[in-house]
Amino acid sequence: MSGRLLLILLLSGLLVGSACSGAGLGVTFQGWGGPTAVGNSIYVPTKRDSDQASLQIFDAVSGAMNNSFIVTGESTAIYGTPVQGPGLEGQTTFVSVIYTDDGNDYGRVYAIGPEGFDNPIWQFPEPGLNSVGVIFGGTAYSQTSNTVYFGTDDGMLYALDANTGESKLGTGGVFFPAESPIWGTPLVQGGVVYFGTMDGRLYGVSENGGKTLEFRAGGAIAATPIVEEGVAYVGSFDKNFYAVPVNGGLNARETWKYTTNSWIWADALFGEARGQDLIFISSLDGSVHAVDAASGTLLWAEPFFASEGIRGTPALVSKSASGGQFSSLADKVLIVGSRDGRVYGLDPQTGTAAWDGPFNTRDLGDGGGQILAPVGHRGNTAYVVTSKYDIFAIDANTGQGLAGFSPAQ
Amino acid sequence: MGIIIDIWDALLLGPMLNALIFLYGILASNFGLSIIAFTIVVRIAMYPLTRKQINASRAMSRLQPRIQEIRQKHGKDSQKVTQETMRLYKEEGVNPVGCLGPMVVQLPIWIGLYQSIIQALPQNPERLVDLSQKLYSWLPGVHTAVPLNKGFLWFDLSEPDPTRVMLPLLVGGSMWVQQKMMANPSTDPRQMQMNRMMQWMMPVMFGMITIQFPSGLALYWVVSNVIGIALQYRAQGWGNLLSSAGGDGQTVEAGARKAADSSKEMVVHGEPGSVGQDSGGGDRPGSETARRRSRRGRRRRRNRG
Repeated sequence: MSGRLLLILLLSGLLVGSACSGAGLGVTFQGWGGPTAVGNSIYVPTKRDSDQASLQIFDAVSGAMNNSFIVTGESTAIYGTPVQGPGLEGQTTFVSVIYTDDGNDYGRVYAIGPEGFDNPIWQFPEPGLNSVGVIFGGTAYSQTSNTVYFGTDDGMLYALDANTGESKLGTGGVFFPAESPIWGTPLVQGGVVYFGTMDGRLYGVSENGGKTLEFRAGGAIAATPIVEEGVAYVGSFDKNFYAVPVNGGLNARETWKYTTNSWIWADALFGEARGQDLIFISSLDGSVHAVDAASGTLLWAEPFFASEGIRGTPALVSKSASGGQFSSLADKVLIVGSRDGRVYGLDPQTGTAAWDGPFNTRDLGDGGGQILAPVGHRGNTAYVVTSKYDIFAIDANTGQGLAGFSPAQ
Repeated sequence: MGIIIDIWDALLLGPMLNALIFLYGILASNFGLSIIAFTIVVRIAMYPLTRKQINASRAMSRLQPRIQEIRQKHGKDSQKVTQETMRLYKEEGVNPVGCLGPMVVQLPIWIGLYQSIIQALPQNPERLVDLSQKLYSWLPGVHTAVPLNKGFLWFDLSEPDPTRVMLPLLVGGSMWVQQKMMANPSTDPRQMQMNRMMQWMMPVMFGMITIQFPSGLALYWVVSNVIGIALQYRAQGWGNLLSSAGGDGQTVEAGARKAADSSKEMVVHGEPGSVGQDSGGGDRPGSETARRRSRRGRRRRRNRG
């Protein structure tokens, strides 16, 4: 019997030890909002050395931190990439935030100006008023209607006036109830808001109200769709990437689908080369694919495989310092960050390595961080944030890190 | 350390995690049902061990009077008592730690299940990304099932019971019943004290653990205990549950009397430990197991005659 007693004590110790090892309960949100370029600055959501999220503003060239806006409240996190709103450059930034209150998690969207979160232009919902669900995506800003859209984990799509933060349509500011969690950032294009849900649906909802598109994938859709020439492109956890005509109606069928070996969580990218439209797809199996937008056939000789899965959306970064937003793919590098902290530069036309080797963030900074956030870019520089909140600036031509950015560089 | 974690993940955590999510996919997308089905599968797989445990427990009960005799005979010579007791175990083919087998096997299952529940129901997106790397690409339905619905009855399977009472009581209560049914009679006061302590310690400890741990794990324990009770009932009836003495050692005399009665009965039936010697209660009179044993005993006596 004493052996049995020992066994029970051992069991309890192991269970409690297992719970305390970080694999247990009481998980805090970390956030994976990507860097975004605003004028000569880079805005980076972070949570370094604190349980409170903040938006740090760096000089895009020198890496000097010019400002840091801390999100007020208990245990906050930012999963969406900040978005620029109306007004002069950098004057209004929309940031979606998760915060904890009395043990429960909620979402809030801020429009911040020079005074940051301490004195925001507006916030929705206002403190003390109705709460909204957790926001795992970011915000989408429609210039045409001057509206900010975002979705919540309790399946609600909200529409807010970009100037005042007041909700549009419906009671309680609910623009569209999807009845399944919305984790991705919506996309607004041509007067329609496109977004996916975790029950595998892709919706199109007119900015004037009313559903225009509904498509059912085999698994959850957590990525933001892209829409080009009347076709919505989005990946799913069922390992497939779908091309769906936006005029497909409420029982839309895919034009084609392309299968990878794991979930597709990163947003797709669109490019054009030699008169052909390309879609770049990246998967959590670590693969990157360039497929023909019309047929879904692989255009590279073979997919590129990173050493780990890809969650963060890659970026097509110009080789020239002036940026060259409309330059051809020949003048760009496809920059991809993988979960093991490596950053790859690829020739977008062939899928072959554009650099001598990957840039390994684990060799620098705190080391050990994953790249889960989207890759940001400005000019010919890519900006990468790790899960340890180290920030790296990488030259798209050489794959070399720029001095002054990450703390250890 | 890394290789141990890899082996653990490959041999236990990975299969358990994928099995749970696969079951979720075929059981109406209900993770509670998935855990229940998984528990049943585990208990079926462990049935040979459970049977061994019941047999070992029964054999230990059967030998109690003879162990008591050894203790009386050799008094304070503890070395001799140990030697003689071990000799007795050897003669009777009893493994004194045989009843620990299923518990030892369950230990990694509990830990694996705890980890599987935590990983299958991630509480933040980062953990969901981790989950994507642990699902088998060849297993149909697991990728499309994620993210899982966490709700079952009144609780969230990834969180402790919100009432803080119901599940701990169910876990502790079902464990107490099972313990009580399984308890062996003993005439040794120290052993009885230990029995009594174990009778309460395990349910209380598991009840306390349940307050802090995900409800999914508590659900596993409740279902596993209920199955254990059913198996125990089938083998030995209610055992010590309906008895006020014996296994939990309320009185030394009562325990000793029952043990002595058992001893007599063993002689009568000609098969050690057949009826009525376990836990002061033994098989239900007229139960299938009791009838089967009785028939076997009669057959043996005829053969001897």
